[in-house]
Amino acid sequence: MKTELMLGDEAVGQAAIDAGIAGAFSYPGTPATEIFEFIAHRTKGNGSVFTMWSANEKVAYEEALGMSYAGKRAVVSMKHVGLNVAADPFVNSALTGVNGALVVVVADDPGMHSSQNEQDTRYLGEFAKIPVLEPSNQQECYDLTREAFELSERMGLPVLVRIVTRLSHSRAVVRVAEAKPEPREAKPLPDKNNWTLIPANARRRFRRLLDMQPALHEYSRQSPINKLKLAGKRGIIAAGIAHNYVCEALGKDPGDSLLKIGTYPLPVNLVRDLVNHCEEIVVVEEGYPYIETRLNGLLGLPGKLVRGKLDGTLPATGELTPDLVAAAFGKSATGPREVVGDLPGRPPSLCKGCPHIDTFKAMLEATKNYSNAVLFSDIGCYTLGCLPPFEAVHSCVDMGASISMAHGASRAGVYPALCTIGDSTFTHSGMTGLIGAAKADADMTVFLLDNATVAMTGGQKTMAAGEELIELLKGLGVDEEHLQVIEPLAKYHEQNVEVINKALNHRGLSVIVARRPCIQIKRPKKTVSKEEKLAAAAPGGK
Amino acid sequence: MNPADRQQNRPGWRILIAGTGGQGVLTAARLLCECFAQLGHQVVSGQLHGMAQRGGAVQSSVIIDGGSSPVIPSGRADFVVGFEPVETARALPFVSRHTTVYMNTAPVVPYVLAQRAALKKEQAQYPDVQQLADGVRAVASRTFAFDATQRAARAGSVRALNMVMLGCLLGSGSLPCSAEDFWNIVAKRMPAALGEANTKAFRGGTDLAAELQVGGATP
Repeated sequence: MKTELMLGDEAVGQAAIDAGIAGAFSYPGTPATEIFEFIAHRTKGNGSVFTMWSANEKVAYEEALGMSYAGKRAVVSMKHVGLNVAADPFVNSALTGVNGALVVVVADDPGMHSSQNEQDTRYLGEFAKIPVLEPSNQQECYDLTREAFELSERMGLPVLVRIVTRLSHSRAVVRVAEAKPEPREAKPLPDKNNWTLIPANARRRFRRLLDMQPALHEYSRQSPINKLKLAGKRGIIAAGIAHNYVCEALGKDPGDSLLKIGTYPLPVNLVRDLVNHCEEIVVVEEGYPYIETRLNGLLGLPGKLVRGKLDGTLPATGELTPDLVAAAFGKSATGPREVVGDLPGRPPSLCKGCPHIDTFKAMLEATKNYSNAVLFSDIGCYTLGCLPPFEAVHSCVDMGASISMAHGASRAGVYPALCTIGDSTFTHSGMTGLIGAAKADADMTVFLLDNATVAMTGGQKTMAAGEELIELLKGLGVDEEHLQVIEPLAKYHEQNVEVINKALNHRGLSVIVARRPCIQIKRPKKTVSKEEKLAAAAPGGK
Repeated sequence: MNPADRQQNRPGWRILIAGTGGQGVLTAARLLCECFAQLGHQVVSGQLHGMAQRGGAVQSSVIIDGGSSPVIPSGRADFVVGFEPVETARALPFVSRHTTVYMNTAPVVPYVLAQRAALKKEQAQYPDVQQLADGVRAVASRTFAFDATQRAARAGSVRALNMVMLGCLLGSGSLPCSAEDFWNIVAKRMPAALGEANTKAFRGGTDLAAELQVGGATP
């Protein structure tokens, strides 16, 4: 059996390849990005797996669903908030069901290392009434993803695999199983009435989904993924990566009863066995208190002490650590120790020479005499314009929100209403907001920051940049007279301020495209020294 | 307690590598993983870079034969390999009196300090490196501070800093693999471009380990 050192994300990707996928679909987002990147890299040139970044997660999901409909296996991966974008096809695909296996891998980000919230995807799995598998380590990332494909085809449902940042971005040795022989025949097309969710069909399909729930519970009851060990009167329920922290805190043979959970719906039989055996149950899970809430029910468990995130045994927010878990079991950690003195932080910041810096400078100068100017921003490197020295940003909510929010605010009398959105975020979800704002000729100024890449997640390919974007904007109804392109460079500062002033004075929709490539992907030739060229090829890179 | 004695009480080797974006922290961690995995050890390695990928703080753990949790509990690092003084000090929660610390004394000044200075908002100063080293040494007596960046430069490129630090770690003889074996395993995974500098830098690191007598008595 082959073994390989892999990130959790990579193990998921390898499992999808070995399961015989015909396509992988995704939109970049930390910590899920490497799943797609690994698949694309590994299958490059072999022609059997289609890989292309999608415009957004909803599109990615639908592309994967279409592939499944056509009878082939597909994987779609995204970060947790990406599933919000894809929620519509996600929930409805549980009603249509799948044909070829469809596996949805979602990476949650507890602790919000690089996200705007720490929502727990297990709730969305339950909401859609589909099976959820939760690996606890890299090996299980591989094994459970392989299992997810088999389960998906057996049940005729999409299957969700939930991982978290620490698992995505940790590396361990993974044993890789035999790959599914290729090529896989496409399964025949399904009954078209099952996939056409007009009310008459949808009611029937929802009934089918409800009728399938006992089979889902039965799967969890019998799955060897869940493991119960009955011992002492203190019982521990540990799900996913939290299982590692429990083992770390309590050692190999703690004497407690332990239920390790990796499938949802929850294995009710095992939970009942544990509860009947124990007086006290400690629930350790990454994310929201999902299991704990279900265990308590509305009225609690009479005669049992349930501990976890609800009673403060573990913190209700943030990421679990071995220290926090050890403390929950009354074991004091060695530390944590004070750091030496007052250490300067290293917050993320715009790179030296970043085009956004010059755009913000020009924008701040142009708006300095407007005390009520509001800048709605979006998700990307330019969100960092909220930090000193700019402190220019008033909002960052979700992908594409800047344009729609500026429109709404302008209708409430905000003037000037400005927004900044990057080229990739624009094609992700900004275009739909702009088409309405253009139709209504909203009194606002849109800054489309075209750096020709998805910079924040590592420079993935973007859907449209340069002249393509201009054509796109015109097509969406933006008046050419109020569509300007500036090059954000210090030497053009004065004239850029002038362009912005003109846009602010126009009491309708103006769009300013600030066009200059991200310095991480394209650097002027003369500044690249011989040493840097060497360094770029060296292992010391990022 | 010397590392060998400690080993009997608490199985496994827990290494924390700390530095800033671009210093080669993640590469160093990956090479350690590949070496020990190839030797048949159980290896798990965590990394956190998140939004701070450009010039931000980067920490990576490498845990050999110590279970499957990628996170080192506080005070439980056997080795802290600090690529940068402030980042070494920031890793202090992982340090106990049993920890061996290798600390590069060459600073990478945080962007915010330069920015604050430019804005003249406040007197922004990088902390005194000697004080940082003393602070770490107050917890872990086996703290070795040296200018590894200079060693890397002498080997041909400051970009080979991570190889100096690895040379030092492996040269100490405290891990279940000799510096020689380590290099034989990982050398073929090195891109050719910096090859010579990497080799020299790694040797520089092992020499440093010998000079500092890290394998022997307390400093």
